Order: sequence, then C-alpha cells, then structure tokens
Amino acid sequence: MRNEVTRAAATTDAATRARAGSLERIVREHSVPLARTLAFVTLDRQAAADIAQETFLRLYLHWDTVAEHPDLTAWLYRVALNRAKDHRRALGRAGRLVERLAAGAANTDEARQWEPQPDLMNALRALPRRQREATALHYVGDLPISEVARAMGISEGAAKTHLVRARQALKSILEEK
Amino acid sequence: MDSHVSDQGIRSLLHRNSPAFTSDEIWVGVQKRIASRTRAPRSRRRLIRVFAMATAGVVLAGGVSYGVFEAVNYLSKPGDILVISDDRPISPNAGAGVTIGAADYQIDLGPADQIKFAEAWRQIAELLGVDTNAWTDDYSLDFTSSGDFVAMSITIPLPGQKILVSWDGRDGARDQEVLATVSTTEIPGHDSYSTDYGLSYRLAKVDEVGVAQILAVLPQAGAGVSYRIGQWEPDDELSPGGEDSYVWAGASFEPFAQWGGPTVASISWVTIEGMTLTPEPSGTVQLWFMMDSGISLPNSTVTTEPAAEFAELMDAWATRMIIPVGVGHDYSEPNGIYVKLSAEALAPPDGIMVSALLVREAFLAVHEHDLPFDMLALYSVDADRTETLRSVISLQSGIRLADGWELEVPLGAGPDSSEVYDVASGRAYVLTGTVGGDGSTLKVHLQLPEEDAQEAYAGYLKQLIAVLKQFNREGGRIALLQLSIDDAGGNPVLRDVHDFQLGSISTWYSGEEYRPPWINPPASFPRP
Repeated sequence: MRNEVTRAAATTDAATRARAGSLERIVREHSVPLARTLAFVTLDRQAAADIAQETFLRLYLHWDTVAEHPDLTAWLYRVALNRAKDHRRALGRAGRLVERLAAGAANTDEARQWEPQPDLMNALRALPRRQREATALHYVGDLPISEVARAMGISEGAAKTHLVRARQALKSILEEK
Repeated sequence: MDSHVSDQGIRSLLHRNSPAFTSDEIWVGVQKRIASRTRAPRSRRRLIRVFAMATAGVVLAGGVSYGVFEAVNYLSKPGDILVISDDRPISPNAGAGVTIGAADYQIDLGPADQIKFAEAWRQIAELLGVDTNAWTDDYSLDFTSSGDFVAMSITIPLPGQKILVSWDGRDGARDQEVLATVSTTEIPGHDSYSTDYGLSYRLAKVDEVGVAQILAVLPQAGAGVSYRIGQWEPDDELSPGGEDSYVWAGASFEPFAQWGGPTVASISWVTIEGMTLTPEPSGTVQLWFMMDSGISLPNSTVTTEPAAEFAELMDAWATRMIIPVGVGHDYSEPNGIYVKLSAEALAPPDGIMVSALLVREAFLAVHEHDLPFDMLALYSVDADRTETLRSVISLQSGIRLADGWELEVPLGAGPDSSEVYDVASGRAYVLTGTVGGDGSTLKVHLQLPEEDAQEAYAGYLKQLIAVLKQFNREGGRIALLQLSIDDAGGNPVLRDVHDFQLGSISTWYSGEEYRPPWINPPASFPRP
C-alpha cells in the first residue's frame, strides 16, 4: 500500500513539474508581446504586467483544458483582454480615478520604465477602448484581423472599423514625423 | 483603410514606444501568484467571534443602544436611489436546445421593424437554456437616425465561458429579418459588479416605453448620427459631462432634476443607458433613462428574534460590531432576508462604513458557508419605530469579487501589520493605523493640520491609495481600508471604505472642498 501511495505521489509530482516546465516555456514565448500589447490597452505598464501574470495564472489553473487548446495564442489574448476589462471595472467608475490618482503618485522608478512620446499617449488615451484594443492587438501583438476579432468577440468587419478609426486618430502623429 | 497611413508606420510608431518587459519579470510574477494560491485560507478567529457575540449580548440586553452603533452607521440619505439585483447567475439547462460551447449558429427573431426585445431575448434564452433574467452589463441595441433597428449585441457571462449574441443589419432594409448569430467562447466570464435588474426586466421596459420615446430625448446631431441603448462600460466612449438622467413619467421622459413623482426611497428603478453616436467620438452623448420597475417592495414585519438559520450572518456582522435590531425573511421568499438597523446607526458620517461592512460581511458569509440567501434588504428603524427600506442587493450576483481576489484572503500572503503601519505612517499624516482581524483590514484615522489642510488632505489620499495599491501588487492582501479623516477641530470630513476584495468604494464627505478624487463632481448623475 505504501509503495502505491509513494508511486502515486511521485506521479503527481512529475505531472506538476511537467506542467510547471511547460508553463514556463509558454510564458517565455508569449509574455513579452502579450505584456506590450496590454500596455497599450491599459496605458499602464504595471497593470499590463499584472494582467499578463494573471493571464498565465489562469492558464495554470485551467491547464488541463487549455494547455492543448488549438490556438493557445488566441486564448491568451482573449483572456488577457477580459482581465484588462476586469482591471478597469474592478473598482468601478470611481476606482479608475483612484487608479489614475495612484498612478500619478506612483514610484517614479516605475514611471521611468515607460516613457512613450506624449502625443502618442494622448492620442491613445483619447481613443475609445475598443479602438485601442484593436490597435494594440493588431499592431503590437501582431495578430491578424481575424484573430483580433476573435479576441475581442466581435466581427472582422467591426474589428476593421475600429482599426480604421484608430488609424485616423493616429494619422496626425505620423504625419508630423 | 486610409492610404495615407501605412500599417508599417503605425506598427513602427507603437513598437518604438513600447515599454520594456522581460519574460523573467513576468515569470517571477506568475510563480508568486501560483504560490499565493496554495496558501492557507482565511479563517475567522474564534476569539473574535466570542468577543463579538459577548458584545452583542450586552447590547441586546440593554435594548437598542446608540452607543454601540457609533461604530456602525448610515447607509444613505433618505431618498437615495434604490436599485435591485434579483437576477441570479445563469446556468446551462440540461434540457436546452443547444449545447453550450457548440459552433456558432443563427436564430431568426423576425422582422427588425416589428421586433419586441423582451420576446426576442426570451427566444434566445430558451434556445440556449439560460435564465431569461440573466445578468449582463454588456448589451446594446443600435438604431439609425430614423429610429430603425439595425444592430444588436448581447454578452452573457457564464461560469467558464461567455455567450455572444450579435446581429448587424446596417446595410439591410428596415423590415429585414433579424438573424442573430449566437456564439460561445471558452473564455471565463469576467468578475463584475452590478446592482440592477436582469436583462428580461430591462428589455421589457424598453418595449413598454418604446424605443422612440428614448430616442426622442437623445440629442440629434448632424449627418452620420446613430443611437444606441443598453448598457456598456462607462467611460471613454462618453463625452465629458454627458450623463444627464431622465425619468419615465408615464407618457414621456422628464429630466430627473425636475422629477416630481414618487420619492425614490419608495420606488425601484430600472436604468437603461442611451447614447447618441457621432462620427467623431467627442460628439458622443450619453444619457440615463430610469423607469419604475413596477415591483412593490413592502416594508417588513415586526422585529423578531433572529432565527438560528441567521447565526452565521449574525456572527459575521458581530465581528464588525454590527448588531442588527432585527433579522428575518422578506418578500415572502425563504431566500430573501431583511436586516434592520437603527436609523441613528445609519446616520452620517460614520454610517457609510456600517452599510459597506454589513453588505460585505453578508456576502462573505453567504459564500463561505454556502447559505441559501439570495437577496438582502436593509431597513432603518427610527426612534418611533418607523421602518424605511434603504437598499436591496443580491448576495449572489449583485456583488462580485474584484479582479485577482479570492473569497478567502490567504493568511500570510500580505505584509505583516507592522509593515503596513510603518509605511503608512511614513507619510507623516497618520495618527492611528491598525491592521485588525485576520490582517486583511487596515484602519486609518487622520486629523488634518490647521495650516495647508487641503494640501495635506489631497496629498495623503494620493499617497495612501498608492501605498495600498503597491502592497497588493506585490502580493499583499489588504482587502479592506477603513479611512476616517477629521479636520483640525475634530470635525469629520471623510469616512470611506475601500473594499479591494469586492471592488467597491463607499464614501461620505462633509462638503465639496473635501470631495475625494475618486468621487465624480456632482452633476446630474441619478442621485437626488
């Protein structure tokens, strides 16, 4: 009986290690583009890192059903967008003010880690959320429009519309260069 | 797409401005999060419960004590809006016509110019096998400038997946068939917060009032205008300040500010958002439309001794020093409960903390102990025993855990109490800061200096929230901040409960000069 228990425990440990190893490979492959994409969705570097970590945590927690997903990349981005949405509404309308307030008072070391050109940030901040999401997914995450649509849960036509409008908004910045 | 702006130009611009991340940074964070999930769950300490119950006994023996309620308090001004969430999380029905997770399919909802939205939703829900009163905060119905129905989108979050119902008929005739596409994803539903009616209530109200009545109120700008009604994320698609409210007066909508109908304390509302969409986002205007639900919520009956079935709730409230005058069942439903507190206890300034903690502890107790309670009604009891219904909230779907939080806050996952205190007091404003209970609650009291009080006030609020946010980012678990700030003369200026675990903020402030930054300026938001 003891041997059986020991073998079972060993099997479980091996499975856990294998899962951890596979998870690490996935994190190393996908985390940087995912986090960068999220940075342009949330306009908050730290939030992007948090959400990326939460997304991979979700993967870990749902490993048995997701690890063999036929399109893991799409799954990750879709979950990440959901988490970004949660992040925004977590404290509700008032909470977003808190987020901005806190961001303003945040450690300057953190702020120094991301200093995009101000006119770009202003333009992105002015974009409606879905336009910003589509822009980030397509141009930063390098997802094709079909994947952008799937990640956002909208039609390809709607995704294109968001991208066209976003490009219009960003046009002036490009033309000034 | 615009030929003057190349894909490569946009891509290059964004990549040049991308923040730097390393996979090491993310991987370390992921490992920490995984580790925190394996730690011991929160448990209420027996000593606390014993102490709290002893206190309860003293209070009950002495009658309705005002003194005890100094630590307990006011929910809302008389006349605050009453919102109801009696919708329940939907679950797949084994006898349903489709299998959740099946491939996309279409459902014919009939001609667009004759559609009745509640009936259309009933058909969709029946086919999916979900409750018609499914909760959602993401649905929209689109109309042309002429009022023709041309598009719809409804997202229903289910445990473990979402359902998206969509139709886009912008290029069709006004009497075209509405062929809605129903798709499901394996994406887990997001955690959200909502206190409103389920979808069937709201769509029935749209049908009853008529879309034309709503569109008639919305601003009608120039070419390219369209309209949207429903509910969606509040914020960046709105124009600044465009959030006026209107109340259905039986034949038309009236501005809320001029509303002379029944007080909102005795009536419940269904709220629907309406928006005028313009080609330029800056022209977008959003309004709120409030309609009487028609559901009567009678005052509860006489106070009775709490039954044994409420013991867990009483325990939970007692840990926060909240001792109800009465607890019982309400609405003739065994899963609906009422709680009565002294009106004095619910009076400002500190009452806001009481109501926030009462709802929080009820939610946690119901879910921790799997109690069969869905709805909580809070009554205030005046000295002459007059009872006033103050709020009703769903304990199943009206409150949700905030992003990244579990029901049980892990012990030891956060910084220890001394660390919290040191950091907070390092800002030089804290008079007292304590971490109580299981280590997940931070209580802070501050007295402002006589000079530069406003600057100190604003600076402190910024710093405190930033500090707590940073703690929680680093894996800390300060679930609850109870903040009280007085002026130099000892007069209360702010009482606040930041519930990071449930993603809610409850705030009282004495005047506009002390309006905290997380409260929008007073406008015509639907509050009397």
